[in-house]
Amino acid sequence: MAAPRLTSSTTRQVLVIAAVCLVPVVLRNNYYVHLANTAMITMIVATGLNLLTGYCGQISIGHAAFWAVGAYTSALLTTRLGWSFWAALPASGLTAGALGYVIGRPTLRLKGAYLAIASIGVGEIVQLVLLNWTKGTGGALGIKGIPLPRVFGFELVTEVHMFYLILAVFVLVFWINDGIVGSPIGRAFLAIRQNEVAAQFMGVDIARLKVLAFVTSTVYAGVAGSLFAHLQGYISPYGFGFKESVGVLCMVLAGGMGYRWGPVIGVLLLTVGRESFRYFQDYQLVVYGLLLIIVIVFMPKGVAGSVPELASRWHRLVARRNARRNES
Amino acid sequence: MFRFGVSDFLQVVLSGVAMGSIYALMALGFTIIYNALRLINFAQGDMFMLGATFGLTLFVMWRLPFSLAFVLTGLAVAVVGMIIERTVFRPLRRYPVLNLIIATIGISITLRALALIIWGSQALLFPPVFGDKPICVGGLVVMPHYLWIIAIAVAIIALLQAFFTLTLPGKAMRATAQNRDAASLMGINVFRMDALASAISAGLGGLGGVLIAPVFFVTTEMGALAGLKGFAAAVLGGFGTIPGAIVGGLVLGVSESFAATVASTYRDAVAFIILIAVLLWRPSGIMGPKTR
Repeated sequence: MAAPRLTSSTTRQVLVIAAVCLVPVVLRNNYYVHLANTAMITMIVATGLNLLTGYCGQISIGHAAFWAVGAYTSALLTTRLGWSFWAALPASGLTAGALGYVIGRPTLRLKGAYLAIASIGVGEIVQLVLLNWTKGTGGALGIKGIPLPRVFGFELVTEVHMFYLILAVFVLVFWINDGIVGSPIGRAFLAIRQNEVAAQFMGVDIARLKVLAFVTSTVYAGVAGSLFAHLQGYISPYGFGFKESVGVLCMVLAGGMGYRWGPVIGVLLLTVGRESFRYFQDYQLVVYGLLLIIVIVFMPKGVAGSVPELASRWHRLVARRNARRNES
Repeated sequence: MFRFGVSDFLQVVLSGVAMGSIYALMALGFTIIYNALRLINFAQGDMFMLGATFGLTLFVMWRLPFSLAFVLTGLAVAVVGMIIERTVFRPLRRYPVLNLIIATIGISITLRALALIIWGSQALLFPPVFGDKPICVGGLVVMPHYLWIIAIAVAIIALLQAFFTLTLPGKAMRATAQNRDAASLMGINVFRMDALASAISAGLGGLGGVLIAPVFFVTTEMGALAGLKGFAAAVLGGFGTIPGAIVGGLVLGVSESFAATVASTYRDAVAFIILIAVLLWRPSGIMGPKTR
């Protein structure tokens, strides 16, 4: 028997957003609000990666590069050219997307793991340029004094202020992404993931759609980078490396690839996991790594994909036991 | 300004070939495990790191002779590879490739964190076992370790080639790589072949690590870049082919060596620029089949 529907999906969405709005009030600790802020920024990147990998089946292991490009674009535009945050944010998304197009267009015409391989290369090159092009990017020292965003002349000074700004951007990205996924384009992505040849046969322009998925996901990463730069006020090449690219990919997979809420669940799971393992001190990363392996081994579809499966199995088990009890 | 004479040229080539043979060993590690399990192993760089740290423990702390420490390190890392195959890769065989890749990343994180606990975060000095006095031949000044690295790497690759072409397990492994089901039908224990491939692949990474340890410092982070470069070398030569891994490693080592004379800060970027260029120009690599 299906559960009775209490609310329409719009009301439910409004309720969820309202609940999330209360998070800073509940957390009350600046450090936790900061974690929530970085987690939401990561969710934006993860949502893009989910679109690319979970829906379209293309693997990128260099997404931190686009994150970095967004962050540096925003940082340079606001500190050197005096742009406002509101102009720098879309500019960051567009710059990252443009780089995504330049890289995606040639590599996505190839089949198989080539995007994954090329994306690793791009990630490393961007990292090295950020480190060594001292005049432009400040080298290893990074860029300091990135201004705080202003809303109607009001400076967003605290972590809590930033929380609502980041939340607003995240909701917008999630909403746009939902629209893409639900549209014929989203279904074409799924077709490509399932079987490229069959998709092509059905008239899907695979190369163009793959580029579209890749560019969209890099735009999200660029936007996330801009938010990150303004949240931190300071950025350096460290924190945009291979490790971070892989980290986001792990989050998407742990959360559940190709599920709407997968990236959100994955980011929450691994952020909370990592923080709570601080208790283990030196062994924190050991536990984190082992947990990652265990999740992959026991939940190959990620949490979003495996929990409903496990739940329905549990329900069947309970139902069978009840039936047996009723017989006797 | 720099003058670039013949002896400089030879020197750059020689150091490039030496680094290249290390990359070739790494690339072979990637290739062998890919052929067996269709898996890109992101923990391969950590086998390199384990080689260097195990070697350090055996040679410096336990004071074993270098040759013995070298062989034991290779074996120990091979055992690590075998354990990983049994505990992680085998249960995951039926899952999508991405799951396997993420699992190797999990292994990499775990191994690196464990190594950090055991050996600490400081860079450790590995004594120059190959001697630190340069050899002068004509106008050419050569550090002996370059020659040793090349010689040992050539020996390892020759042994590996002999294993694949002359021995029964080697032939069985090649058969399994070509067609798993057919090999299984012919009575080959394909799971044992997976374990063997993982062991050899890990062992090669470990030997590369212990070979390079006397030249650079040993750190628990040293595997990350080495792994990526070995991977780049494998793709460069043509992923999944053994000659490709060797050629890719050498091409990468020599081009890096030349790039370092022009712009040393971008030395590490060379590998990836070449990698992307090759992907665009000829995605199957230098030694791979011509068709796309």
